[in-house]
Amino acid sequence: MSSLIDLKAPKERFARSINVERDAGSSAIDGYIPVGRSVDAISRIFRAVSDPNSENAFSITGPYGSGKSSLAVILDALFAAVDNRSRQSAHDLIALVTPDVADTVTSARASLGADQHGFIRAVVTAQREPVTATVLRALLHGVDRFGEPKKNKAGYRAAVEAIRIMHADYTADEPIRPDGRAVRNAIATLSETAPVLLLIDEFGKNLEAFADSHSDADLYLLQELAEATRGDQQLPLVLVTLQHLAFDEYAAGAKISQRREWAKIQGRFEDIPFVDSASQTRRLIAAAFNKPKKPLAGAITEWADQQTKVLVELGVSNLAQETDLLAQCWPLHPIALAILPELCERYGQNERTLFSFLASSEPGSVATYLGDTKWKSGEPLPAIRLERVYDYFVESAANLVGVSNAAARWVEIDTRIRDAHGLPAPNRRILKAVGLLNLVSAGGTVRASKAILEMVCADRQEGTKTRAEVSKRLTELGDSGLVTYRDYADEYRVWSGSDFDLKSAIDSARRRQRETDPADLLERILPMEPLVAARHFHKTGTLRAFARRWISEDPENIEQLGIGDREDGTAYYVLGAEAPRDRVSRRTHEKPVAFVTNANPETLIEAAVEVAALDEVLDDTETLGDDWVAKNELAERHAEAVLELERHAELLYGGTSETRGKWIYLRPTEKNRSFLPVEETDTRLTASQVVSKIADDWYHAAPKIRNDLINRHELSPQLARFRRMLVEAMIRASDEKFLGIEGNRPDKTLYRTTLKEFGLHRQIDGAWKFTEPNNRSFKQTWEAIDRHLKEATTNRIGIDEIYAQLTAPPLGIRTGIAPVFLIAAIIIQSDEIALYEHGTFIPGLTDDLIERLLKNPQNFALKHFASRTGSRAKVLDSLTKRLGIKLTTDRSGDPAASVLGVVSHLVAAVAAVPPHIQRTAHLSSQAVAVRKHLLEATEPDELIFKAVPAALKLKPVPATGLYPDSSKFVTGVVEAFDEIKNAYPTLLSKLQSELAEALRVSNDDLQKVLAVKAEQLEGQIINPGLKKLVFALTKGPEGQTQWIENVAMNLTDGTAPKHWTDDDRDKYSVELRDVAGTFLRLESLNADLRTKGDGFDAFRVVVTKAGGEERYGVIIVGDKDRPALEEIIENAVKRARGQGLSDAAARDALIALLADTASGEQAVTPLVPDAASAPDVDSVNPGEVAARD
Amino acid sequence: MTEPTRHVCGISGGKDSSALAIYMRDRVPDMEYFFCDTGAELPETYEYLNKLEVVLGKPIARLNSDKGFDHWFEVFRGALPSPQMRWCTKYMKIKPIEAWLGDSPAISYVAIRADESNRKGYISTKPSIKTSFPFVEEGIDHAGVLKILDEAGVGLPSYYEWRTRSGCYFCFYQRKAEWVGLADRHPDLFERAVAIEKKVLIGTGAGQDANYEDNAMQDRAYTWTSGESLTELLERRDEILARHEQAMERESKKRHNRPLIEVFAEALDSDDDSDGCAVCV
Repeated sequence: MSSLIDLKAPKERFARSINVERDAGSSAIDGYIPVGRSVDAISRIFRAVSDPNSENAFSITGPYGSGKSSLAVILDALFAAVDNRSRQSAHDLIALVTPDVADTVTSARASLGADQHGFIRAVVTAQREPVTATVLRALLHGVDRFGEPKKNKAGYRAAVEAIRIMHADYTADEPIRPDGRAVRNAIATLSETAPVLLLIDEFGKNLEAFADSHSDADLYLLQELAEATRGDQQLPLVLVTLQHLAFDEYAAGAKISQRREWAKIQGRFEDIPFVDSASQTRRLIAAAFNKPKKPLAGAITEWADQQTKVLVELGVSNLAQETDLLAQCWPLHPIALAILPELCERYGQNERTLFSFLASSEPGSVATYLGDTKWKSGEPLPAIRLERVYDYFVESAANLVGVSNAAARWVEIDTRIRDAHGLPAPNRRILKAVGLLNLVSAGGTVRASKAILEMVCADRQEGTKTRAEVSKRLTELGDSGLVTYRDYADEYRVWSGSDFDLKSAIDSARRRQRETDPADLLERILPMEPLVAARHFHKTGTLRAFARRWISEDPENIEQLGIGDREDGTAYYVLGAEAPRDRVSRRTHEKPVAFVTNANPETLIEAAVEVAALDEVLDDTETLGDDWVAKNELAERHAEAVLELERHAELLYGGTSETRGKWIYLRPTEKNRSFLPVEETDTRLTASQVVSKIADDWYHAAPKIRNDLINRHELSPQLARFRRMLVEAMIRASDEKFLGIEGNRPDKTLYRTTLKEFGLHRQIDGAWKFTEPNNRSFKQTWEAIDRHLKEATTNRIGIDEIYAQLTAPPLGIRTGIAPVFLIAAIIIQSDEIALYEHGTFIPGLTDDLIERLLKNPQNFALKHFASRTGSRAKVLDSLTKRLGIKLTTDRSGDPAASVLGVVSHLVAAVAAVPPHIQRTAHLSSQAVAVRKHLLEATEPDELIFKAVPAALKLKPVPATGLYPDSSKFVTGVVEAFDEIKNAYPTLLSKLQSELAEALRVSNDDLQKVLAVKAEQLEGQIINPGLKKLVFALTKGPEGQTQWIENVAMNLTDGTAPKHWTDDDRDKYSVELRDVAGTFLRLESLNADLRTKGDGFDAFRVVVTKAGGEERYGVIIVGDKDRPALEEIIENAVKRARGQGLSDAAARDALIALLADTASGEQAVTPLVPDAASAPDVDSVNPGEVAARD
Repeated sequence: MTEPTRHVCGISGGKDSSALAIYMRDRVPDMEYFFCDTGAELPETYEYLNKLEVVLGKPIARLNSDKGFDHWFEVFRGALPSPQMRWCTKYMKIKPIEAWLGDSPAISYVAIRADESNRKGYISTKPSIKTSFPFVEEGIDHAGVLKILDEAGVGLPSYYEWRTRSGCYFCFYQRKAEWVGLADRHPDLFERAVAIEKKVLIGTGAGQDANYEDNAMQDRAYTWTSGESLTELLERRDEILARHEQAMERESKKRHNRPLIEVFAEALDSDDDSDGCAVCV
């Protein structure tokens, strides 16, 4: 009897030398840090780069989809120049995960003096081509991206030139193969400027090309380059290849000599495995053992054969085919071997854990086991079973918790097994086996099924000697609640013990769910996304989707989709053999309906019941409480049940279903309400093909719009903006080529694919305009729009309603594009269509209106004025002529008067007069009445044919028959309109003449004369009213209109005449009279003072009579007249005194009477006949006058 | 050929910019005056602009008059502006000004007074626009502004009697006491503001009002003023006015040694400087 270790032992120095055994010089691989395979690879590459003694050629091997190309990208970035943004991102990414690796990267670059300008990054994806071609392409790519060299400029340029020539020669029709050394030399020269990274992704393609070529010439270059990364003549070159398979696997079809060559070259590369498949790992395990010695070897072979048979029985087919592997891996039990790779990957540190499990001397390791276990030839072979693996990995993993994202599961199972106190040893062994299988199993054959457990646990130990015993112990474990058996999956699960009676809860939920209507149940449990008619879309440019519904054979009523619904039809999945065709209700604008049946929907319904039942139990949070064990169980079952449900749905109703009935659909005609088959007798179509066919039939009239960005119901915000720009161009520049849209922005594309494509906007007789479309594909759309517009002759129709109608079959136009067509139609018929926003008539299309119209069509309506016959037409014609309205052309191309032309003209003009004119009563009664109706216009025809005639006291204009008042009406309208339009200029000129009169100045040159006069008074005025007037006269704005407006405002407390009320208007006259009197007094006094001292005296005389009438004037008395006049006065006073008056009284009486006589009235001039205003003597300030002098 | 330089002067409806406009009238003959019209200004502001136009003798360009608040209210389907989302300033002030200015070189005259040290008007980011500060250069202060307005016969805008700044009648920057002021002076506008708060625009047409209640977020009702609807605010009117009185009193106590006119003047100024729609100033 001897220790097994003497007969078979793990290799002492176990490393990945299996992959590099042909090259003894390759450094041993250790320090594998699997924070991520990428980080590992990066770390290794950069560490090598910074180590002058290390080679810099790497081959990275990993399966498809393992992220090799992403790694290539990150590598490319990390070798870039300092100002490269990807480099910073890549660096940050690495630094986030492992700061030291990031540091390594930085110092590696620095060690080659390339931290600033980076490497020349010759990065390339290989094709099935010789390596040389790939390398040349890579180099070109690298130098293209490198920019200006800072040193070795001449050499660099020469090398680049050489590479270009070689590449050109090599890609010429008769390729000249470049010399490997020449390429190497070029790289050497380049590397004097900056280090070179040569990275070849998909390198396997080169290898395949090599294997095909049966030539070994190509490999020299690789050898040259690999050698250049090491040794005395080392170049600053990093060589990286990425491929799916190990090098030699590519060379499988190659000649022996090639393979030898290949092996040599491969030895130059440091291999970085990028992922480990389970079978690779198992091979690794097999290689970890030395060959067994006799007699063990024979026993192992026998054991392996035996295990193979069992595995075949159990259906573990992959291992069953590898009897040799089983033998090599002994003493590992086959099931242990099966789970080890995944166990290591998910819970361990990959290979490191695996190898220490195999080779280390830790307790529980394989080596320890072999050392501790004795065996004698002839005895049955022992094996390492699951509980031992479990024990080892539990201990090993203790410090790993939190690293692996599967750690939670690990802890959960570990805790439960640890907590199972007082369990007999055999039961505990089984429990651990279950736990371990639970850890790695994701379904499949190797799981904790009854059979597997019996096989792996029947270990001849006490209590678990036979399968029967194992079976018994499993039952015990189940009874004690430590494991639970999931019968639907044939799997045991470690169970911490839940009080929740899952089975009965689910059973009763199932019963309840079975009572609901199956169609309702499926609608709830398996609602179907709308289905896109893909082929129809490719054919027509319109993306259509059909709603999908589950339905019973006997529904009460089938609601059809109509306008306003987004989907273009409905596909019904009938739970039964008969489609309920006669339940399809009839409606206007109906959309297509299709049915598919299946006579035996029970399995699907049952699958739905299962999901619904699990849902129900899961939703019952009150009962479930915090029982997360039960919750997890339910969640897992639920996920599986959903998959099962989907599988059944596909099986019963999918494109290839054998059991379903043929699709049928409603015939798209009103009269014959029958159903047609979609599929021919033998064909089977997918649902998408089915709805495509139906869409073809139902929406045959849709215009073909090759712009799927706008041809949809909901536009992206950007596209909505470009649509608005297009529509604005439509109203702004309809007479310009391409609507004046320059360049190739999306609005131009919109224009091209719609207005231009359908001929809605084109050049006719040299003029660009909107016109009848000339594209046949658009004919029916245009007719429909026209029909909807014509429908609005009596009542308004909502714009949103028009859109909705256009979405109905057979057009099915998308609401995103409908506004463009509708607005084109409105522009073409602009003289016949009135627009309303919130019910108010809008006289014209403007940008702001368009913006609101596109956003909120529901706020807009339109009305069509088709009729233009009889007396109405006559009235319109003469109004148009008399008002000077520019004629628009009607649809036949003739200029024609229209209701809208006339009304828009009138309304717009009245809206433009100043507010004062809009409300003054100082107009003729006709003008006031006409103005009222124009300002409140809602209905253009009502306005012009009824309201305005009424305002003019005339009869309404009849729609038919004669209109006797025709000429009276036209004259009345024109007169009233002119009066309104001219009212403001008339007012201003009246204000001006009033001013001239009040200040006694001629109306000519008024502005200039008054400015001079006012200037002379400046600075002498206290009266605030006069002050304002003088300020306005001197400092007012230029321009006659502005000048008088300013004067008028200053006379009316600062209200601008445009905004006057009628009271303000009256105030102007009153205030003007008032201020003008003062103005004139002051002016005349000024004139007096100017002449004083030239042989006369000047007196200012003011006479005010009892009635308030006032006269004043300046009286000049010459020096030579004075003595004679004084003598007359003295005589008169003397005679008056004779009447008994005092001297003073006599003088006063004489003055008064002198002024009051008829001749006296003429004596004092000028005269201010103003009784209302009090004399403003205060304003004459002698002090001021004196001071001025 | 180089384009001629334009001279532009923005008028906000407040006293300083109005005074500057008058002041510049005879100094820069080809000055272009503009006003960003939200269509929702106070009636006092429009009245004042009318006066200014007459005094200036040329029209004040009303930018944006087609696309005022009512327009954007409809386009944004009742999404109202707020300090967090000031679309009002962007769509009704900045964009119209920049569109109006175009790319031609221009000098913008900005009404910052000599006695204002740290205030900033709207300084365009366009390199083609240069700015000039005539009041600062010529030392015209608060009293100078009042004198200019008085001499021109326009005086102060009458909303200064109850409100501290021009702008929309529903400006969300106004104080609670000012909302009460709006309710007192312009009950119709207050009623409109109440409706707008509920996403309804009164009297948009002969038909129904523009109503975007359905678009409103159900759980988060918008309010113009923080923490309460306008209706709720008005119910607290006495409390709000009392608090306002107290605040004014405190303010005047702080300056008890100074003539009342100065205190009043500073109150106007500090209000003007607050973070409002000062774009055009």
